[in-house]
Amino acid sequence: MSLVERIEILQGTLDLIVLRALATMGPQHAYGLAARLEQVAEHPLMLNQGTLYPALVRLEQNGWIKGSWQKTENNRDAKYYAITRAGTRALEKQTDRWHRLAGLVNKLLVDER
Amino acid sequence: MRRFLARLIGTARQARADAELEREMAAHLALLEDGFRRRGLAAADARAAAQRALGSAAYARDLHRDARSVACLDDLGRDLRYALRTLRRAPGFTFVVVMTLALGIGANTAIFSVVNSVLIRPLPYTDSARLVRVWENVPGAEIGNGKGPNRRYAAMDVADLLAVSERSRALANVAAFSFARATITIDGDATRMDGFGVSPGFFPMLGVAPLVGRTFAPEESIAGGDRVLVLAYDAWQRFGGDARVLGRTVAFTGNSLGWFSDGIVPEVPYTIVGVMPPGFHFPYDNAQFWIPRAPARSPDGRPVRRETVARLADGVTPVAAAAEMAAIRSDVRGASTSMVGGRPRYELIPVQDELTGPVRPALLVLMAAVGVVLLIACVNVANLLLARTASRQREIAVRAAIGAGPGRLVRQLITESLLLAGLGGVLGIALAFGGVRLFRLLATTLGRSDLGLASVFPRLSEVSVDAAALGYALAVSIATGLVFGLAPALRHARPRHAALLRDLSASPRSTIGGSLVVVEIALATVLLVGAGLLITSFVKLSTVDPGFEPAHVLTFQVLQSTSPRPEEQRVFAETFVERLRGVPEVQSAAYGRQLPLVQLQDSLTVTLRRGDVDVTLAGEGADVRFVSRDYLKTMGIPIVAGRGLTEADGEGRPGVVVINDALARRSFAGSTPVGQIILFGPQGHRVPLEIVGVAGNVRQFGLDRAPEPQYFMDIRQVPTDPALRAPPLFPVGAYYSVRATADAGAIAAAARAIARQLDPHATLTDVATMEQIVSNSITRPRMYAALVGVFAAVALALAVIGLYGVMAYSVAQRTREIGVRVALGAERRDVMRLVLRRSLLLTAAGIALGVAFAAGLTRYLESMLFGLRPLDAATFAGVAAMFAAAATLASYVPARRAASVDPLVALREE
Repeated sequence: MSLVERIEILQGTLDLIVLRALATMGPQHAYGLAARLEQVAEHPLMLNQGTLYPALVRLEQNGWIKGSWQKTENNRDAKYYAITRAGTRALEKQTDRWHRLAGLVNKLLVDER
Repeated sequence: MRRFLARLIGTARQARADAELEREMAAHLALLEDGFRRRGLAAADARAAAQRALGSAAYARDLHRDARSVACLDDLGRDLRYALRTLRRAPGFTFVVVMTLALGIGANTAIFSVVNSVLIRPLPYTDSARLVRVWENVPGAEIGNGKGPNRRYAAMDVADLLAVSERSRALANVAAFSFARATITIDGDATRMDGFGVSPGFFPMLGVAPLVGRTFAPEESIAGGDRVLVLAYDAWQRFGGDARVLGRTVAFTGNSLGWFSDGIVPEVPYTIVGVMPPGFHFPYDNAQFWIPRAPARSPDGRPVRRETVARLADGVTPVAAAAEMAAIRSDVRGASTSMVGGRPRYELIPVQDELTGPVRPALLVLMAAVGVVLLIACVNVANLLLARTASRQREIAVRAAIGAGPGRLVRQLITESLLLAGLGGVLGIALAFGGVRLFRLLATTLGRSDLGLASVFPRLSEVSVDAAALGYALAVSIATGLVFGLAPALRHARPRHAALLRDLSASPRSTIGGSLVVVEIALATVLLVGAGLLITSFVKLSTVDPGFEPAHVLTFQVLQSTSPRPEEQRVFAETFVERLRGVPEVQSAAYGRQLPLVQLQDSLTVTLRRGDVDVTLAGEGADVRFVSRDYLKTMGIPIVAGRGLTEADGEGRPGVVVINDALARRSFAGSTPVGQIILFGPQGHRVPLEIVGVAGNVRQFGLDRAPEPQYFMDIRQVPTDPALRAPPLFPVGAYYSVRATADAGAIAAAARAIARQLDPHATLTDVATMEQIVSNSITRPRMYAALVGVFAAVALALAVIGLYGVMAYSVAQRTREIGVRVALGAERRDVMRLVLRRSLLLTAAGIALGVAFAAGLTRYLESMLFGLRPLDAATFAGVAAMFAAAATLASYVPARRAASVDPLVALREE
């Protein structure tokens, strides 16, 4: 119920989402990722774009993604993040875990009802 | 683990990472803006929208940093910022706490600096812990006529010294030294230099390389080849301070060549061969030069003693080395005692202990005193913090409710305490620098060895706030922060959310506050009792009658560029004083071989002529003073019977003497001393002296020492024939004293001018008024009284503030209860009594506890007290009364506030 716990949950999820997005879309900058997430979530207010950064740093520290400065098509500087091999493995593992967890939660929620 | 490392590195690289993030977010913002513009927004709107979408940059940065760095370090940063904000919102509280801590930490750091510099830091010589001074206990049977008491010398017999240095295995080196005082004429001005004649082993033993040139070669210790000289750094400065000084020759001259300079050959050039580095002042701070002087037996077979210092061989204890020395002595001399009156023949005392021993107990007392001040400061701050956290319980409860765990809350509170302690520490260090300067000021003396090394504070020049002291300040700050911060933190971190969010009544805090105040008052009482004793003692000491009138008397010595013999010096002095009397403002002028408080003792046995029989008074020596006829008058020493010395008592006239009251009472009890005969000189050469008067007693060797029997001879009548074996006329040069109406500077100038008429290079030295000399002699008691007094005053103030705080807080908490009481008919008087009674109970408990503690502790002050006992009832009672008065005053304000509570307001409040 506390704030801390809420962030914790969001964090894991966000990491997974970012990894997934990079795996399917190829290298992206933070803006591109944010745009993609808003699009997928169909709810522009869900994500304050700044919240993306902690996840990116965390993932980079884990060695799952790698950032490098490049030019956008409009010739602006942006840091592009790409998923690494370790990241791909982690994504598989996390996806698997998520499915199991989600299945469990779903089942529980259905049963409860 | 890898992530942890990355985070750790991330923490370290905070700044760079921040810059990188800034850049990335700026890029992000630009892209967002582009997007909004493409959707048709105006430039400004696009920017605003972009910013909204990105969110607060600071917030993002915080989150980002959170992810990047180690959580606890980052929490620390956040806690610190939070704590700073909180403290800034309570400036009054912060000020009081920081000042309290600064006083506590500052006083501790200052005194620690002194203790560290004097007692702990090793002397600046190689492996100085192994350097020892040799003391010798000698049975009375070996001294003089064999009937005297056992004696203890800070020196060794030279014959034994030579045997020991040859044979000892327990001692790596042995060196002898003796004090040498002489005059050197530099640039036309006669300058006094104190130095030491040292044996060949001296410099190798200390293991300090010269700064310039060299020390002595072994062959330079042989008589005739030993005209070389090593200068101390400060003396070198007087010679210009450059390397060209090497090879320069100086000749010692001096009217002060006497007992203390028998190693020096006057008027013979000595070649300067080296300069020692700054801070090298072995064996004493006054050492300005060293000359070689091998220990030699006296030609006539009489025992000669030299001060001895030795270096223990690796792993040998002083006791073992002393035993070996005694064994060597027995071996050389045949059967002999290795124990003297229950003490070992030799005692080896580490040089540092020997040097600092006299001030060690006092320094430890001071250390304890500042420790108590710090404790009181901590208690006070803990109390303030308790009161404050109590009033912050709502805030704490809210923080707990939104998810801060107890650990996190404790950390926040501790961080605040540490921050306070840190601020106090920084300010405390600044105070410590000031405190050390004050200490040096208070401890500074005239620095004259003739006034007794006892008044000179050892190693004073080395006292400073160094790295160790700063480390100590840091450690003390952290420790205090934890000590006073932990109690409130633990008390309040276990949140009783629900209860706390609703109401805060009935806190047990006031009892805790109460017991803290009792402790505080007890500690302050202990300190006040100590200060009271020291101050009373100092007042007694400084108002004791010294036996002379120190006001308006100037004293000095005259240095000459020549080396007159004693009789010539006497002629010089007579002429000089005669001319001084001609100065209009001079009321009287005199000279003598010493002054009051000059530590020159010549205790001679007293032989009386009774009828036809000469009677030597066994074991009853008296101190002989050779003075000019105006000495008693100039010093203001009263004549209590008969007459003083007069112009007519010159050379060749019938011998006369003036004895002091102590001698009259001791040796002439029941008879009239005036008219009786004292015999002066060795058997066969005795000179009869008629007692013509009795003078008042003088505290010759210190205001704290009872006057000793003395007699005064007219210096013109002292025989200089060596056969008569009279003590030398001027072993440390003549001392002049002038009583005058003009100020000291003018008289000194006049005296200098007269001296220059007699000797063109003459200078005045050791110029001081008698008042300065008296004041100099009580430097240490004054310093101790002043320092402990200041600490006690701080303690008293803190304790009273603490009491006030607790009472004020409890009145504020009980406003409602008091309102009810008043509503039910309690009088103002009753309410006041209610508050005052509690405060007086606390104070009484504190004082009682403190007095009990003090009674157990003041015996450690015994050696520092003069004229009163450690359990001086008046001091104890006075302190208790003073504290009670201060406490009543402190609780009067809260009591008044309680009495003026308006029941309507009080009851409506809740």
